[in-house]
Amino acid sequence: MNSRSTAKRDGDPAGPAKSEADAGSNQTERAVCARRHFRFGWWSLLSFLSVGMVLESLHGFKVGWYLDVSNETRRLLWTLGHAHGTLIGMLQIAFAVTVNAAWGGTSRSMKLASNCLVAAGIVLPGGFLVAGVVVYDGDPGPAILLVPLGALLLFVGVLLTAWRRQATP
Amino acid sequence: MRVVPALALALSVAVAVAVVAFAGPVPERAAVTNRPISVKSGGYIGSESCQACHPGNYHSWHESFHRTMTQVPNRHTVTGTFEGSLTSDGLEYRLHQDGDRFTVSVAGGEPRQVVLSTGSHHMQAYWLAPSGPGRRLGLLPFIFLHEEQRWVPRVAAFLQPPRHNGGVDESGMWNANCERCHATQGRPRVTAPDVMDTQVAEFGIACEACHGPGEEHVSLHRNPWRRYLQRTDDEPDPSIVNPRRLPHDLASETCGQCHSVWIFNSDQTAENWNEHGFSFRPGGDLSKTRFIQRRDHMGEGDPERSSQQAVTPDYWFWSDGMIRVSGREFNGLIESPCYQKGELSCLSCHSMHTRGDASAIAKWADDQLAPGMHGDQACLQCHDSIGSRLAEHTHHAPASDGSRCYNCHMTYTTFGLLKAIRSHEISTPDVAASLATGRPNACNQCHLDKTLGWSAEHLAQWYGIAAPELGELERSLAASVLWTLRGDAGQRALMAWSFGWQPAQRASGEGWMAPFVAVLLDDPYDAVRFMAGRSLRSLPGFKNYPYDFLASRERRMTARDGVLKLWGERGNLRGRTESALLMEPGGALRLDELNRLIQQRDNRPVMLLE
Repeated sequence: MNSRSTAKRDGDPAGPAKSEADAGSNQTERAVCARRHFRFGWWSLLSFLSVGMVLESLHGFKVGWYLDVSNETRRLLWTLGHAHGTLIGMLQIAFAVTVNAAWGGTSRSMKLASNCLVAAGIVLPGGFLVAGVVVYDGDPGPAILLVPLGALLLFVGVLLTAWRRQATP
Repeated sequence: MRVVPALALALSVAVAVAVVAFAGPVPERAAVTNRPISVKSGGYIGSESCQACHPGNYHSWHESFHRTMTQVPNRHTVTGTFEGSLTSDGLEYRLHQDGDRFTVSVAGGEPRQVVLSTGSHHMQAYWLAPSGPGRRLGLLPFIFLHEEQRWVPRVAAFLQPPRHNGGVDESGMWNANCERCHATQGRPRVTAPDVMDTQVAEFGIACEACHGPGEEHVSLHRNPWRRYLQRTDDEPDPSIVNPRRLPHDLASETCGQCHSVWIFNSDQTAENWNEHGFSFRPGGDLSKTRFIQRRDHMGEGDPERSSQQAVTPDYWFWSDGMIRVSGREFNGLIESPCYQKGELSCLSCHSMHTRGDASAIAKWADDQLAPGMHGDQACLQCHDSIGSRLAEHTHHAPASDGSRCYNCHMTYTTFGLLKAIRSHEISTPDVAASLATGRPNACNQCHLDKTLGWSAEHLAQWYGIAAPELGELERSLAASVLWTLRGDAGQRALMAWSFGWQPAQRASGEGWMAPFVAVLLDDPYDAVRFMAGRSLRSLPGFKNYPYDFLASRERRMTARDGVLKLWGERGNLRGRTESALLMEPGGALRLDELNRLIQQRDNRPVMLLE
């Protein structure tokens, strides 16, 4: 239920004016939120692009700590961290575009989705990357516990966005 | 309405996943009828189950020659060239390859499929599909040598008296003997006279050969919490054996289950093995089921011994009980003071797993030595005080071959795989033992140009080892000359190899060696001739000398005479005039004396069972 329908139902005589003010406020919040996610998304992309360059360098210099079969768990985790970080960075930009152009939910749900996506953008790839620093043969390090947490945050963020997205912008 | 097709699709996917997950591959028992098969039972589940959690260890094992000791033939595992034909003792063997299928036709008969191979490091042997019922294999009487890239008769690849190669050996040797150690948890399963339904847990020496059956371990550790708790627990995991965490004797017995000369300690144990495989498990007490041949029992009966054929010492041991064949290192280890008084184990120097890139792993696979154990560090990890006064201890330059611990305390006195191999009985150089047993001592195996008297004198002077009483020949002629000309086949084999050993060439000079190597080019034993040919090519002036150890006697003698002639013509190859080397003052060889000593050759048959 959005703020406009609430104002109408309550029969507030100052409704239209307040609605306009709310709408203005919402638009500002959406703009702030979109900027936040544009900024976070692009910086994420730059960060994980850099991680990708580091990984490519490890390949280029045939670094055994990354490439040896005995370190395949580390290689898998860092590859996953790189891939998830990059994709979630793109997701941040997509969320910013969605918030700007087609957000149909409350600002509270928008903030919740925003916070979930930002947290997921850090925790999920970070969990993979940190868990790959110290591995136990085929098992990742304890930081892997961050990954399901990040996955949950990502799920909530994407669910809220899908749910509160306007059918037609 | 769109829900129905979605549900149908989901159900189809679920069924397909269930079929793939639970149906599994077709059991080998049903699919393969012409060879022993792999059947997982008794808690053995196979090495694939280890890979997901232990990728590094799995990989290094996968690159090891333990894994490839027995393989099902395909174009990637077969190293021999299956084309053309081989002839031996009047029988023609036509070899043929069609993709992953290899066959052999004997004397124009029906092609028999090659169904298993043994070895992949130095040589490879081939087993043929049964000629009768069951899974009892025939043995192709040829072996493919990897370095030489050639086929040789199987009888030529082992040190044994000259004999006919024979046809395909149908005695079921693989089923009854080889599977004991060239497969994991084999059981011959003799079901009727001459019929065997042999099964193994896995072909080759796999994870469970050293760690024990893995079923319980894998089952328990599907739980991630248990895995992480185990990581932080200092106690060994009770569901699996890690030999590295065992006491040194039990850890060594894990290797000793294969690398030893042994027999079952009772008929009941042997019968149980026939049906169910070995009851020994890594971490257990080997002596509960086996009698390991020990020096104390040499030549004596043992009341605990089963009715099986007793161990024939000559096949495996020097006369004082030191092991003299390769692959039985445990017998040497347990007689070593470092094992008996210390905590030396196989794993003190060897590691069954390693880390690193492909080249590092390939290098490790050659002898599976742990990092840093190629040099003195292996010994200095306990005898560290010697490291700081190496020259004082060895009386050799610290950087020289004479200061390497291995060279004096683990000499090349065992034989196998057509070469001399270091003894794993840690010992000190001893001229008296050389006299008593004929076994080369460390001094004379390196200083090939010196007499036993010279070694005895130095050992007495440097270490206070009492010099034994020596005969005239031992004091006047180089020990290598005596062992080469008068020794038995085992001594001649070691000398044939030693003449090509670089440290010996550096210590003794190479120029004088050719005539003595030439004598061995015409030795009655194939294996001696093989090594003599290899050593000859390492001598200056003979790198490309044409010689085939399997050529006719006439051609071998021509080759031998050619070496002598070439050596005689090229004075710069000689450079030595010592009488100890049968040289005249002018450098000419005392051929009459050489031939006289050859007439004294010890021609007792020698057969070393690797």
